[in-house]
Amino acid sequence: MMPLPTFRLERPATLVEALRCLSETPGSLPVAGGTDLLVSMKHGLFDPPVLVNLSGIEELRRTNLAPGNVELGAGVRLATLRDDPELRRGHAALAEAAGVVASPLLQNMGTLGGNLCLDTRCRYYNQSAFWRNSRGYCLKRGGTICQAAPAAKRCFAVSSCDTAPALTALGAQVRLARWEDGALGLRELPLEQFYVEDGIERVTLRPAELVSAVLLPVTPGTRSGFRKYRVRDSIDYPLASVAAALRVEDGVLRGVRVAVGALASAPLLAVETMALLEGQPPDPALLAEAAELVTKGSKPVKNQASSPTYRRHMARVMCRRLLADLVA
Amino acid sequence: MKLLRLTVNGDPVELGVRDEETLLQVLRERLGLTGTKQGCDLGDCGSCTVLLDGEPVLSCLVLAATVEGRSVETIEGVAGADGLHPVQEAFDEVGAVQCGFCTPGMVLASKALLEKDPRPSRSEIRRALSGNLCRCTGYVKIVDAVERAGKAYPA
Repeated sequence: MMPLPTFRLERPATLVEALRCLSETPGSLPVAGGTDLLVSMKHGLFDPPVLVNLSGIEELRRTNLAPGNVELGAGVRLATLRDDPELRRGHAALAEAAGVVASPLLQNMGTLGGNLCLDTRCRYYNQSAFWRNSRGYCLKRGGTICQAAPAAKRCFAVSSCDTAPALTALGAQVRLARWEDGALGLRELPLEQFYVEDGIERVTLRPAELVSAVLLPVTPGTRSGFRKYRVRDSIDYPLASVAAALRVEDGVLRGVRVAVGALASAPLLAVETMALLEGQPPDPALLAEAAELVTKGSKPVKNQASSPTYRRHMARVMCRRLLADLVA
Repeated sequence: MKLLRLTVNGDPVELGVRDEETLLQVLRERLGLTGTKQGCDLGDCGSCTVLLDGEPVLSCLVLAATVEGRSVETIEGVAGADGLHPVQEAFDEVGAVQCGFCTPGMVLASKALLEKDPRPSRSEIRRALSGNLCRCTGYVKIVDAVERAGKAYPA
C-alpha cells in the first residue's frame, strides 16, 4: 500500500474562499482531480500541511462555448473536453489532446487546470521515497546534483501535459486568480508565457495563485490537431508530442502555429516551422521541410523511456503527418 | 476527521473518515467491500475502479472526504437479486476471467460503457478499457465478453 501523508483537507465552495485558504496557510497546495498530486504525495515528493480541494467549486467548472468567446473553466474534466462536439469541431487539437491523457478513467477525474499545472517528470524524480533514497536525491527534490545530467546546473524534468502544447498551438490565454490585500486579483497571459523552461520552476504562478480559466480565440476556418508518441497507447505520459493549428486562405497557409511537448521542461513553440509555412501554399515538400525544423529548439536529455534522439525523430515524423492531415 | 455521508451500492452510509483516507481504503478497510482491488495504488492499473455517480474512476486517487453526498457503485453492487449482471454473465461464459484480480474493475468499466452505448465497436471497447490492465488474458476474451454483454442491453 502507498499511504498518503497526513494533512488537513479544506473543501471551499467558492474560488475566493479557496484563494483565501491558500494564502492563509503557507505550504498549502490546491488539489482538483488529484491524479498527479496524490500520486506524488504517495511517493513522498510533497508533504503539505493543508490541501485545498477545488472540486466543489461550481464557478471553476463553467464553460462558455459561444462563438467568438470560448472560455473554459479550469475545473472542467478532461473527459468533458474530449467528448464535446463543439470543441472537436472548432478546437480539435484540445479535444484530441484531452482524449489521450493517461487513460479514460483518469480523464474522468483529471481537470484542465490540473493538466496545465502538471508537475514536470523525470525517471529520477517520479519514484518512491525508498527508490530515491537508495539512488540518491536529485536537484528537483532533496539533492544537489541532477541524476540525469550530473554536470548540469539545472533540472531537465519534462513538461508532460498534453493539453499545454495543444492550447499553445491554438493561441490560448490562461486566467490566473489570487487573493491579494483582501481582494480578488486576476491576470491573463498567453500560455507560452505561463511556462518556464526549467524543470523546477516550470510555471510562473505566484504563491497562492490558481489557474481559473482558459480563453481560446476563435478564428473561422482554423484546423488543428494533436499527435502523441508513447510506448503504450494508453496510461503512459508522452515521450514527444506535436500540436498544430492553421487555416488555408486563398491557397496559402495563414495563422500557422506549431508547438512541441515533452521534449523540454515547457511546451515549445516551433518558430522556425511556423515562419517557413506562413503565407506559403501547402505544398507537400514544403510541409516536410517545415516538419524537419520542429525540434530545432529542443535538447532533451536521457531521463525518460526512449532515447532523446528517437523522441526528437518521432516529433518530426508526427509533425509531418499532422501537417499533411490538416491541409488534406 | 470528517463526517462523510454517501450512497454505496444503493445503501446510505455515514462514517467518520480521516482527511488523508482514500475512497479505496474506506471501501476495503472500513466497509469490508474487498471486491474492489488494490493494485499499484498509484492510478496506473485500474484494479480499484469503481463507479462514482455512474462514471468509472480510480478509487485509490479519490480522497474519501471529497465524495460527500455522491453515489458509489462497487463490484458487490453489480449483481441483482435475480442473479448476475449481463456483463458478469458474459465474462463467465466467454472465459474472460483468469486470475480475476482485474475483473472487478473490468466489469465496472464495461458496465459504464454499455450503459452509454450498448453496441460499441471492438475498438471502442478497447479504448474504454484501456485504463484497466490484465496480465492473464491478452484482452481478447474480455473484449468478446463486453461485445456479448451489449447484446443483452436494449439497443
